[in-house]
Amino acid sequence: MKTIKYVSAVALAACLMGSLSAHAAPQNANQFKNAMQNASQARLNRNGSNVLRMDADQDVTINGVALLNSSIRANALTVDDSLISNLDVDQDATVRRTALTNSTTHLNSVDMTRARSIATEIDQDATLRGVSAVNASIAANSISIR
Amino acid sequence: MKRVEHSLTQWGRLSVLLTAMALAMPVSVQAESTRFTIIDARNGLTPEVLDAYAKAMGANTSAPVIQNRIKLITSARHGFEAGAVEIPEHVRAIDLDLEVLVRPGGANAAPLEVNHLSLARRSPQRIIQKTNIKGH
Repeated sequence: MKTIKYVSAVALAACLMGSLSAHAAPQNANQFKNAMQNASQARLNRNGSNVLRMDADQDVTINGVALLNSSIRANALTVDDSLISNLDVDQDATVRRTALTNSTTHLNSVDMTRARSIATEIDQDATLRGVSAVNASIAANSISIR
Repeated sequence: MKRVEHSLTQWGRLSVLLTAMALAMPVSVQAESTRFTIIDARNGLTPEVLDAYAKAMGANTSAPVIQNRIKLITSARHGFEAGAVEIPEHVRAIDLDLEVLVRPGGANAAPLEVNHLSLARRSPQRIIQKTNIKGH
């Protein structure tokens, strides 16, 4: 009887330990994974090269719009204090059947500050067709890296 | 002779299969649907409209990828000067297709600023911005 009690107690303890370890294992794995990710991120931040590449594809079309004492700004990217080292930009602007009077239009712009070691690949295309402009300006496909 | 007949039957089966595929393809193309968000800004840039726009552009997303098709209806009188939308740091890819429909009503007298994204220090690696502004 004593032996049976002992065996059942051991079996119960083993079951409890098994269930505990079954719960603990994924938690530990997650903790380890998070720690590794944090360490990796900290290392990358310290080196300042966590973003190596950025591909930007900007495409804008304006058709049949009349502007009077106004402005249009479409497709703009502002990256402050960026760590980008490799930039690939493809910009395409098309303006058709548009009348501009005392107005400004700014299309497809990328503005970056503190970018590092930029190696760029730039593809720009702009088409104006049937546009009338009086005291107006159109700026299309601009990249500013400071 | 048997071999020739056999190959002919194979070609017949193949042609039947190709015809069936050709007939089935347009159906599958039609069956595809695109999800998009419509924002009615004909009454101007109200807080609700600005909130809906920022949400559609992915300002408060928890996902690493932003992909959305947005149709924005604006009026010539009120315009839509939304300004820059702050994208969270964890976002790694953005694909935004914005179609702006300017409601008829004379020349645009108010500014229009759309699809302007402000990225954090750890900026996304792949960004696609498409904007189509249609007048009347």
